[in-house]
Amino acid sequence: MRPVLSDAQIDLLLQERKPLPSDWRTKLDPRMRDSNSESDHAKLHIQGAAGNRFRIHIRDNSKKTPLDFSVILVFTDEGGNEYRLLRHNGLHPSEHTNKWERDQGLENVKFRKKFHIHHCTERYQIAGYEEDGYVEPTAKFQSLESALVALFDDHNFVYPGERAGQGHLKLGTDDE
Amino acid sequence: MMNESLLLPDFRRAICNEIDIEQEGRDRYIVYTPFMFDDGDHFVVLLKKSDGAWYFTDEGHTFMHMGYSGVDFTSSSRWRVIESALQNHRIEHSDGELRMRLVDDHAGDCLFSYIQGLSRITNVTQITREFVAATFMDDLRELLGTLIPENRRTFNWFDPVRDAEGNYTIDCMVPNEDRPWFIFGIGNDDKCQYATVCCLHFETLGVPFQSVAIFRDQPSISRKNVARLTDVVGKQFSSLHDTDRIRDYFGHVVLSKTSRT
Repeated sequence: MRPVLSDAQIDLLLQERKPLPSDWRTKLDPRMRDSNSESDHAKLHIQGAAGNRFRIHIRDNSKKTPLDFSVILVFTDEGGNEYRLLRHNGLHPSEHTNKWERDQGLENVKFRKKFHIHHCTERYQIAGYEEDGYVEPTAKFQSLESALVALFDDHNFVYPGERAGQGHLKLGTDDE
Repeated sequence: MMNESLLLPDFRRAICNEIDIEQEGRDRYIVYTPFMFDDGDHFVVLLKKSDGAWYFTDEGHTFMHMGYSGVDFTSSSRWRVIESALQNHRIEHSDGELRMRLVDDHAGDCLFSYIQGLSRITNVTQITREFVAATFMDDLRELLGTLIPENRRTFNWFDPVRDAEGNYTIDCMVPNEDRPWFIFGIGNDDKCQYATVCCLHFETLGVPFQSVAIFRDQPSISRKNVARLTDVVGKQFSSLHDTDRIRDYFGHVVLSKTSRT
């Protein structure tokens, strides 16, 4: 059985310095469609400064539904177990329910059609729910590109040859 | 005891309140339902008019969401389950979009059948790696059946003269003049070692042959075992997923009239 990641461990992983490789733009261009996938997607493997393994995964369904996308940060532990630490999601034409909060009888556990972020939490793992089932609506991004920038800016990603937060995002061109 | 005459209206109201519909553009409505993926995101169900007919559609969201799991649901065994669900619920699949045409006066039935179909499809990501491993040889056999004409292949072949007990059985043998093709499916370390032993055995006997090893998931096999097999086998494919390359190789090399490696 997969070990539970504590909230403290999750915070440490999110804070870990994550240097981006020079070709990150082309690797994260979801137009580089995988022929085995039904939606455009792209992925990039990154090794953190503390040696932890991360992967950014982008899925883009905006050809069919405008602004339906996901930018996912995955952590792989030493045993090969994968955890979705964060998921920056676009506007799905549907609802979301925070199941753990619903079970506690809390208010405002459902919302519709908002840009939102899935967070990995200890309590969801312990309750047997998907690790990133807890969601908060966000105003940090309104597009796939800005969702990626928000991920980079908030979680210690470092652009090649630059300090964190100074990169200019344009998917598909590696000009470093 | 609860009064049924009071309970039933409340029950109906509670159920109805879980379903909602909201217009979003011309001939396009979002249908909100309580049915959701494991992460709490609800199924996407849209009611859309297209070419004069009304459809329920997910606009490709279901497969996109299933991709989060990291599970390859296009593998043969999982895809078979999906195809069964599509067929049973009369859901059409086109370029990742799942849609169902509404039948007059049966919108409710269609909605629930559509949702039930989506639910069955999303459950495919729960099919374990062990199950997929267990069906690997069936999947391989199915693929080879489509690539090699029936009169040119023998599954589970063994040499009736030199190996009457079938101790060195080959998963699939394709006759080819004096150098037959031996095809091995490698699902685990034991099978990797077995294929290595088979190749060495026929080499020792001086039997000329050509060979192909198709792995279920090569990275999951011990590197030493892969290295030993690499020393004796001809062509390798790291997974069944590489169907296009496998198909191309069989078409242009294995089944060519003068196939030699």
